[in-house]
Amino acid sequence: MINAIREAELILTDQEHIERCLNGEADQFGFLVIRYQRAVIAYLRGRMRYRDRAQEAAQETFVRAYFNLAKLKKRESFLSWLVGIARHVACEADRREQRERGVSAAYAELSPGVAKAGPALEEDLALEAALSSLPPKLRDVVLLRFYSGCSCLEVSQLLELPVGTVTKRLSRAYDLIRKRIQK
Amino acid sequence: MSGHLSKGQLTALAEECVSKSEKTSFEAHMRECSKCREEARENGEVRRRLLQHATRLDQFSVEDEVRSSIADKSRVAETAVTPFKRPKGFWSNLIGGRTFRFAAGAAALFVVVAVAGVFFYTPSQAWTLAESIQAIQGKRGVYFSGSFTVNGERLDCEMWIRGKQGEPRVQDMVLRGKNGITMWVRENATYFYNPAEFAVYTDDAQTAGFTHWPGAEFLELLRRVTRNPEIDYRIDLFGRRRLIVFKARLVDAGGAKSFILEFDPASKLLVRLKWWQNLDWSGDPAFEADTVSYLDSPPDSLFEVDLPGYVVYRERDVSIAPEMIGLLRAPSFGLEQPGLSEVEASRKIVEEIFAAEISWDLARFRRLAPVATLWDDEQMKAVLGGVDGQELVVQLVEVGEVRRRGRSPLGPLFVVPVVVRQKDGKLYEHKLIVQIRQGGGPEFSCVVYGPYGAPYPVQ
Repeated sequence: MINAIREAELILTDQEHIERCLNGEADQFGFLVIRYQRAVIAYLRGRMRYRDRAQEAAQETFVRAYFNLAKLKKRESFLSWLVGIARHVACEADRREQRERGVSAAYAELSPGVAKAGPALEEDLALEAALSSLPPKLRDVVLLRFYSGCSCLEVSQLLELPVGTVTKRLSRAYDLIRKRIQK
Repeated sequence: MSGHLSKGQLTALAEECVSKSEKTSFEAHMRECSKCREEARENGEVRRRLLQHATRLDQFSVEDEVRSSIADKSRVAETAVTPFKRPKGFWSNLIGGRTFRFAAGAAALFVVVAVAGVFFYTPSQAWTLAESIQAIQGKRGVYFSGSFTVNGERLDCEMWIRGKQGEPRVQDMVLRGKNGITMWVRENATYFYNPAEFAVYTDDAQTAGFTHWPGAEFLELLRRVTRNPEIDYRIDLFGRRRLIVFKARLVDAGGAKSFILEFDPASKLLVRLKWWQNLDWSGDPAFEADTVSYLDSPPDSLFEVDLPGYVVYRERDVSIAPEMIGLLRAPSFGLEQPGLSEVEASRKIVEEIFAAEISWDLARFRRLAPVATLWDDEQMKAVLGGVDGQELVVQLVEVGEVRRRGRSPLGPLFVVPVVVRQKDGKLYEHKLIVQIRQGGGPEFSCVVYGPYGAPYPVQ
């Protein structure tokens, strides 16, 4: 029963979840977290200097989004807004981390981590870096399609774009990602 | 097909976003064109890596952390910048501060409405009002077990109500939802605890639940405000008994309501009920109680509410039923009061409406409070005066200061408290919600929406 309700809730659009949340159904925000947590973490892991802190930053991103939800004007652009918050959080976290660790210690800590990484992790590092460097329009399409589990049709509905535009953006994103990870 | 497939076409094919004919055509081209096949393979590789990466990120769920972090921050700052205007949904659909006096048929009161209807509209029934009153006498508590349906989601709950000896008012009420939501009435205040928000929202009036204990006087009162109920029988296969089914509907300040109640002819008591927020019993009931049990003397422990120490208390904004906006907007109702501030005008219109009640000028009363147009003179008499007319206001003793505020699409809402003397000599505090109607300029007018909670006896 609960699962059925949750699945049904996940079908709602971002706007509907936001509307309900603003009308007092706090739990509705949970569905937005479920929908976008992978996307935000994927973005942050590629964006942050200290990617091991991406999960904390994602948490902070969602908390900030929750307390500022009423300020979101374009509700259909929730993901873009969320990624904007994530970008700020990532910058702040990196600055703070760098201050705390000290520049030299930070490099020392970061480098071995990369060096010790196995092939899968290295692949991830490159992919995450490529993702976070995508232009916002392409990035949002990729995050929605692969990290929020939307089909192209659903992405087109969420972003209010023709399906053809979505597939074109995806193909351009593939090109950029491929070039980036082959470097 | 001439040339190669575009990158967009290749992606559309991989994503199955092409028509059947396009698919056939593209695939035919792919079989012949190694360059396009290579391009598709490279795209497929990127897609595969993205999908695998996304799967690996499943381990990094932050849902629980976000929830607890929000809770922590909410606890730290009582006045936290919360996007939540008020605990809508569950509570507003349940009863939401729209009960009472004008709205004698308010949602909270439907059980008794129906009880009265059965007795007065079906003289062929073997049982009478007197018998029912007899059956209820000596019982000061009632228990409901059932569920609410809010936005398509069913919420199971239990509710206990306790009447006050010698008074028609409800003494205590507590409703516990299976999802942790708790609502209770204590003295002249109503509390809504929503665990998802870690907060208790308060109304300084009895704005929820059954405002009257379903006693004899109230049965008679509600008999007068329901019309054309339908009576039928139903065989309860599980209980192996025949039940009397009562269907009725009404409109009040809280909007349209229809309900079905089932009575046990043997005990004369209500045993099941359903209630809809429409006039045709359509869709899922807003509330359904599959168990109704009367108790002789419910223990205090039933009404105790234990909350975590960290919850914060917040005043709930005053709100009105959206479906009443149209009626409130009509220029034929209300009052313009040039030269007065909005607060002064609110207090003035409240004085005016009680003056209309005292002089029994129902036309004026209806012009100031359009919800009263929903009832004829007889119903008004019952609504304002109670069963024997003893609740009629004979004197306006005091108009208090505006204590609560809110907002509707028409403009600000103010709650104006007053103390009145009834015909029976008792003093009661009433609170009325006044709607300020702003036209965009400095001019405004005001209209009385209805009561904010139940009247409360003044010692």
